[in-house]
Amino acid sequence: MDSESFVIQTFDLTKRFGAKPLEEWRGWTEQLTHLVKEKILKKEKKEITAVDHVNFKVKRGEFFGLLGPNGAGKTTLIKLLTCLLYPDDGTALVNGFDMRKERNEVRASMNVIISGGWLGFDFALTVQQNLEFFARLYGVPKKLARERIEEILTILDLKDKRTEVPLYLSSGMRQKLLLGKAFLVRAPVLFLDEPTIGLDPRAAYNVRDFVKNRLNKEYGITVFMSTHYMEEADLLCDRVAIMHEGRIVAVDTPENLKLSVKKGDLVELKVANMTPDLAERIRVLDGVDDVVAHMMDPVAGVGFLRVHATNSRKILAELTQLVEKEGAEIKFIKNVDPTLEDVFINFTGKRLRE
Amino acid sequence: MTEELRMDRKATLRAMWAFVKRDLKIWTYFKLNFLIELAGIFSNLAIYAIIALVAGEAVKSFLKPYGGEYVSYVILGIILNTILSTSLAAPYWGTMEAFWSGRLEILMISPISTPLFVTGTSIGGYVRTFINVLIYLALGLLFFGLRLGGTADYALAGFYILIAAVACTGLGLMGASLIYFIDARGGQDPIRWIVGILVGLASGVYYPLSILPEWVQWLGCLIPHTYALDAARRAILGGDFKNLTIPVHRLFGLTPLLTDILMLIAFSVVTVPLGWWMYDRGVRKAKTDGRLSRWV
Repeated sequence: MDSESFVIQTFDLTKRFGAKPLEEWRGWTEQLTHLVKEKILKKEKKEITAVDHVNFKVKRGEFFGLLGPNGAGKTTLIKLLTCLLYPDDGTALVNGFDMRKERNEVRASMNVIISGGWLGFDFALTVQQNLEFFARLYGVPKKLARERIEEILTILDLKDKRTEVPLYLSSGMRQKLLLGKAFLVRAPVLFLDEPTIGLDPRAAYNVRDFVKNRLNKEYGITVFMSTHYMEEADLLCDRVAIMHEGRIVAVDTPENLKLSVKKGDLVELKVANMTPDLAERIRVLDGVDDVVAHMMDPVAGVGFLRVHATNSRKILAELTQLVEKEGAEIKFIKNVDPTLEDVFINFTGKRLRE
Repeated sequence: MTEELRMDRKATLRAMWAFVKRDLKIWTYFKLNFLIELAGIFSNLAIYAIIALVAGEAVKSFLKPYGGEYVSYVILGIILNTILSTSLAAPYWGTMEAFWSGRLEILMISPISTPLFVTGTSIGGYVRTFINVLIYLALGLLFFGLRLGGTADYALAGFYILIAAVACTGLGLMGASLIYFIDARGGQDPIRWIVGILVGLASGVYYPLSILPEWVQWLGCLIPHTYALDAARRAILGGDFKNLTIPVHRLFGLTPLLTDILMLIAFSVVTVPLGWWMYDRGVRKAKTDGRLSRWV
């Protein structure tokens, strides 16, 4: 595949930050004190690597997912690719333009919907006026902007809200309005950072449907979406990159990723009165490869156990006996297929939602 | 089906106009605020009109180069200071407003350039000030005895104000860059703070410089306001063009107006490129250390 087929390519992209928490940078007096310490007294500077030599490629027209827990470096990676942050090492090509040397061209090639981005709407402007202002910022000609705004308001079911200010819209409607911006400016690449965070299931469904079917499939916009919802990544993405502690640990289609961890059977149990050491007891059973426990309700002791076994039939009797012997109560037990959560655990040894 | 976005000259002008329209809408969104601002202008003028009644005669001899009348002198000073303060503060407040409202990243991600971004976020302040200046002038002329000289040269005064505004914009950009360099996000930056003190104390906004001790007058020479106020008042209030009123006037043996314009040009030549350079470096620093972002 030639390099023009890829709309994003990264080459050892790396970003380091000072280890001091952002909240501690308060006022300019503190900043001056810090400068004196760092520059004049030459105190040792500690660093954390938020994005660590990241390499991946995204094909044109692809729906690409970046899956990882909070703090994995997903947002930092998107900020780098959108030129909102400058890298310390490495570079990336976005739509064929080098993010270090051709920043204007990179910005002209993409659109970004950031989490909490509705904050960026003007409270004094109506829904329609906000979209008009955004169109001007992106140089969309007046007539074309007017046509597209009408289309957006119709598609997103916001026609009767056009004269309202975004402050009084529901969170789902605000998110839809944000996505309307992506529709208004049909740049080749769309970066979405946690697009459904904080939305109710219906609003999240509408957003996913709009992004997948309208923007990606119908208009051919390459979508680069970060999420920590594995179901979302599984449902929408052509390929998924798993990110952990600043590194990309795996990239493939969701199906291939799941197949890569399917070495035997996977049994899921919902258990009441689950004790903290139950997982360890199960782990030592013959035929059990691994056990992952997740406590849902610590007060009632209700939780899930996912038991990886070479052959689930052979261990079933012994497994249920052991659970009951430990004083726990099995609510249900079933064979399941691996999820991206299992993939994540396989590559990182940790759960996505830890 | 997809498109790359380019900001040509026409699109840039449209974007600028969109900023102006947006800022006017925000300004007039809360109608009461507008009325409060109007009342503020009226009360400000009233205070100085009363001071003029009490102390006008005492300072008359110092005001000879500016027409000799305190109320016109001070109202014009307030108006000119309003314009220059806007130039000084607009880059800072434009950037701050964008930051606190969560718009900074959205603007920085968009294809607009840094100069357009700074001008766009600042332009609302200039439009507002222009309207306020008209209100000041109208109220001053109608109710508070503002008298403009019969031989007023408005074009000349406007030229001086324009150059001074450019110089102040440079200082304002330097101040705004400190948002990025030292996180001066609390509503004040050290440069504007120092200039603000010098303006109030030693630029001649409220009283003539010549009543101050010599060393304080020299402090006034460090800011562009002093020269702009001197020249614009002479031009508008019909005073004389020979009297030396600022210590710098005595240095070069030139006429006061020529010295004023040369000083203002010198300020502009230094502050504007330095301000842009500092602002640009500041943005680069913010994008390198990532401390400016509200998107986390």
